[in-house]
Amino acid sequence: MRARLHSALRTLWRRLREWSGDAAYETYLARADGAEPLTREAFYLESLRRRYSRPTRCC
Amino acid sequence: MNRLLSSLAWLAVALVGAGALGAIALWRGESVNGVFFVVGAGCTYLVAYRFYSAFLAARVLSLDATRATPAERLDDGRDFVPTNRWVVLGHHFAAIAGPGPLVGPTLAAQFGYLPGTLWLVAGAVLGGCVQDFVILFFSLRRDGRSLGQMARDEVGRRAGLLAMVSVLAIMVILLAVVALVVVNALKHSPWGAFTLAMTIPIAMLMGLYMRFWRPGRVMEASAIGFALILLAVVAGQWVSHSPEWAPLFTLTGPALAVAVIVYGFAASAVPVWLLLAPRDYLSAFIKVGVVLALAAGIVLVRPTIQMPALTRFVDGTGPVFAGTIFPFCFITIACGAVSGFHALISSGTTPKLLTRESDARLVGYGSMLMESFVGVMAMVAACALEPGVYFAINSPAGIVGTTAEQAATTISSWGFPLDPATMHQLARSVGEETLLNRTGGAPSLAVGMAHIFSGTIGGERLLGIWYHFAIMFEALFILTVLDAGTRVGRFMVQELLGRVFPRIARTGSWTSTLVTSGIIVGAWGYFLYQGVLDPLGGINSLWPLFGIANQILASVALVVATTILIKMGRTRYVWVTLLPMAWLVTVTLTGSWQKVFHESPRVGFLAQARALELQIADGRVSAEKVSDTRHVIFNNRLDAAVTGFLALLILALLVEAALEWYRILTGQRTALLTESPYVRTKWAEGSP
Repeated sequence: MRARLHSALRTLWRRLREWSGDAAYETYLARADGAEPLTREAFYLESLRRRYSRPTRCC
Repeated sequence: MNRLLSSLAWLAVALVGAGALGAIALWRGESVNGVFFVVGAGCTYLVAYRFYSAFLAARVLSLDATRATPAERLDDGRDFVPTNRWVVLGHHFAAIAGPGPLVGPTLAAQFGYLPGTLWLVAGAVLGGCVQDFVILFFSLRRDGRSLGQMARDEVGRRAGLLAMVSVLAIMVILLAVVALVVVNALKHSPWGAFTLAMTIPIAMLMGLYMRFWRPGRVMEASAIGFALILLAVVAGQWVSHSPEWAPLFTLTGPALAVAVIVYGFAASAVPVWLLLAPRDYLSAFIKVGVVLALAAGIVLVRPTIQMPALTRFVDGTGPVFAGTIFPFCFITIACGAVSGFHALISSGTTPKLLTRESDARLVGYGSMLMESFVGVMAMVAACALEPGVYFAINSPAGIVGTTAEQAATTISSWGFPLDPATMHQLARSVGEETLLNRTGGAPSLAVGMAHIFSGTIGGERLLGIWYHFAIMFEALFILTVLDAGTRVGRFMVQELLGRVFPRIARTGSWTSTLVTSGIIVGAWGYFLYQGVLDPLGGINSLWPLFGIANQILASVALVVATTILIKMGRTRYVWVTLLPMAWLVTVTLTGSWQKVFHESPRVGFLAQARALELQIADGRVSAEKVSDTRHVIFNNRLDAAVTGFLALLILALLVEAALEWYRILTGQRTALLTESPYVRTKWAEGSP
């Protein structure tokens, strides 16, 4: 029971980090095979530039 | 056996929902409880999701879970990322839920609780959710292409241009009207103005934290930001009582409008990491948290609905905004039932994140149901106020006067008893000088929310804190829409002007950035300023204009969707998009016609211009006010021209699309779809 609760909380935390964008760099690193990956800071700035060049928030 | 149990369970859900909606619609003479709204809407959503969205997914669109999505095929860890469907649902909901579903139903409550509530539920289930779902699916099949690109590819080049122009037009009007809501909520309110002003340095601090100290640590920065925001809400009370500080933050409408315009220009031009992004992160957390808290509060407090089912203002003489129930109830509700702007999100980031095609049902249809539910909760919060109080807050000074005594006399004469002492007491208990004439919906919604929250935590003692927390919550994400919308509008102006002046199209150029930011801010700033100076409060003219623009954009999206369905050979199911489209076109064209040509000066822009001209000619306008009145006359004519332009836009697109449908259906043209080729998913069912 305790283990299941622990696992559920871990999943919830992981999903919350994915939703908020907190885990974006880890997601990127996991896919950046071969080429030299961007630093965390460079990745963050690049992701903001791409994100806010199209409608992201609605009325 | 399981099948029988399932059928019985769904029958029970349907009956409970029908019972709750029946009670809301048919009970007269007894107060209805807010819980009936939650149950009626909730059960309808469940049935609609289980059956209608399943029908759309299986029969109309034929979602294919074996087909690889763009996120899988083009996975780059940046734009295209296969993401858990519940996470995408959260992303999509946070993106589509803005001030519209809160403000629209609050304003529409002047007709009574019934028409707005029914449209929020029925419009979402049959129109808004369908639009969001089908556009998401079509974009998913086209590598995440935008609505404008799909219009160009599937309907024609002119349609693409028309879609882009309509998006830009709605953006300008949207930004003006949401800015006006903020201005009306914060004028002469040092507590509110201080709290909102503090969000700027707090957001910048968060920006610096995520840029230099802990790059990309969104949750840490948001936790710090949230704590500081709460501190600012509490500190605002002290500021409002301070003889030194209070005058600094006590601003008139025009002064606040100028401040918002300057802020909008700065937010569009400064680096995105400094202000826009951190405010956006903070706003997303607070938005989702407050929506959940409001739902819990309504269930716990079970507020009694004070507003009647229908008011006398269905005849079009309402003080909040003028116009009869048809078409203005539908235009006013706008985003809570159907929002054209959602089509931009459904064809933007979301299709690039879906792991499986079948997830489009949950994300597209499901998140619009959630937005509609937000609208129903806003309706409950507004209608839980005494009607007299609701009208005193939402009516402009030109109609109910500027003192509590004048307002009480006028509003009581409408059949909604109001004691002036009630307004004085309410203003005192929320920490404001006055709550009269705060048009725009935000303050009355904040009062309603504060009553619900204080009924759960803190009681009357914390009413002022809850009121200003609600105002901060509304203003915070309105400013986020303002920041993000101005920036995207700037890019669109750069793209449009770049076709004629290629140097403008360079997004990295400072000159281009400043010029195009100036153009977009100047455009919405002009409409904002005219709204602030409008003797009828601005909302009366600007909110219907926004509703018309928004619903026209929804019509554009449904025209594109209908065209694609015909091209897919699903003509027998084309009614799923054609019927909501026909309804929206009827509503928007009727609304446009009335806003331009109606003989009542409170409804028709041209009639108001004529009435004011007559007043000047008859010498009924004092010499010092002649110049201002001429400005109002010009603004009315401008609003009439903008409304007419929007109506012509949808008519032109309809003609273009109808010709295309005719050619395809009569075999004169081969239906060519621009779908990406089928690639089988490498993931088995159930993973990742």
